[in-house]
Amino acid sequence: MNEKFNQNQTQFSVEEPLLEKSATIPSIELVTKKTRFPKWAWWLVIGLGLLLLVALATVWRNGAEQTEPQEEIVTLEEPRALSPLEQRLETAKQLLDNANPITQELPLPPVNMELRIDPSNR
Amino acid sequence: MKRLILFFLVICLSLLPAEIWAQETSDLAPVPVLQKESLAAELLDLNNIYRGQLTEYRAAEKEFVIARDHYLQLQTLAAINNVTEAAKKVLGLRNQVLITYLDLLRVNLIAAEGVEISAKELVLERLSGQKLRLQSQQTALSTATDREQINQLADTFTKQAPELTTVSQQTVSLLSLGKLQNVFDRLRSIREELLVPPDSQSSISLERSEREIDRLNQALEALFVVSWAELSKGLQADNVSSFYSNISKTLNPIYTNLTKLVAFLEERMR
Repeated sequence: MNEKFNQNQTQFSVEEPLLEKSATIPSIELVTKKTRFPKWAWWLVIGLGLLLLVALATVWRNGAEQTEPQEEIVTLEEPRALSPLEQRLETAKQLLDNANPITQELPLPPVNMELRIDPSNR
Repeated sequence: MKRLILFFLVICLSLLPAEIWAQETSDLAPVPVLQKESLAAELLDLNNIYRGQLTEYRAAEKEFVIARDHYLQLQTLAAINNVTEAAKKVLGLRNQVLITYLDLLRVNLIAAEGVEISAKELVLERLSGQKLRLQSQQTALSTATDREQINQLADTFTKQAPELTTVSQQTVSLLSLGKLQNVFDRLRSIREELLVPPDSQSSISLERSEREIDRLNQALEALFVVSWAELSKGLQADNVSSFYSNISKTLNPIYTNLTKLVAFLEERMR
């Protein structure tokens, strides 16, 4: 159609270049190469997918556990383990604390020993 | 190659959950249950009973004092009736308190270490004698209904009270000295294990500290000998009032020296 009619109406037919041919674009042939996906790669993808699922499940589970209120864990420095002899000395110390003669245990109960209905004649 | 990757994947998938579950199923070790000694449990029970009975007695004593005041002022039959009932109640509760107290002394003495068996047996016998007296009084009180009968029972108790006080003082004295003796025995056995063999080459400072500990040991031994002799004398004479009234003064030097010995041994162990 371009060869027969010039669409530009402001151009005279005289000005039209003679015997000029419009450039023709060579049609590109798209060749689609059929690449074959190897079977082992499918297995790899499935495996990785499963791994990802397991990992996600684990992360989700841990996250749910962490949202529960947790008690503040106070890490105390563990005291040095006492040797048997030191333990015996410690026991003796505790016994000595209980044997202080100033703090007297088991005194006579504070009861009135002279209760009587009528005043005594003594 | 493909099979190798597949194998690796299968292994990974089978091990991963197992590892997670293993973290979750770690069981706690069962906590061992501590068994209390029967004597300690008995003492705990007796202490609780004793406190409860003492509280009841105090309330009953207040009621009795009010009832007696009314009786002495009004002298009516109703007032006599009230005061008799109140007296019966308070005397019964007093007996119960004292019986439990004697039981407390008995169990404490049985459990005590550092007390000679002969002294223990002597005082235990006296304690059980006093308990029997109180129990027979309790039986008599339960059958008493008359004001005069209650007055007589009250008088009998008042006459026996000094003996009860003596036995209590004897037990407390034995327990106090026995506790200190027990500590000394324990420290002496620790000391024996710390002793440096005579042929070993010890430093001068170590020898000096050994001598100081020995000196303290000897001083303590002498103090114990004197104290036990005095207490035994009082027990034989059935009168420990002087030992009991000076118990703090007598036992305080022993206590101070024992504290010093503990400090020495601690220093020696470092």
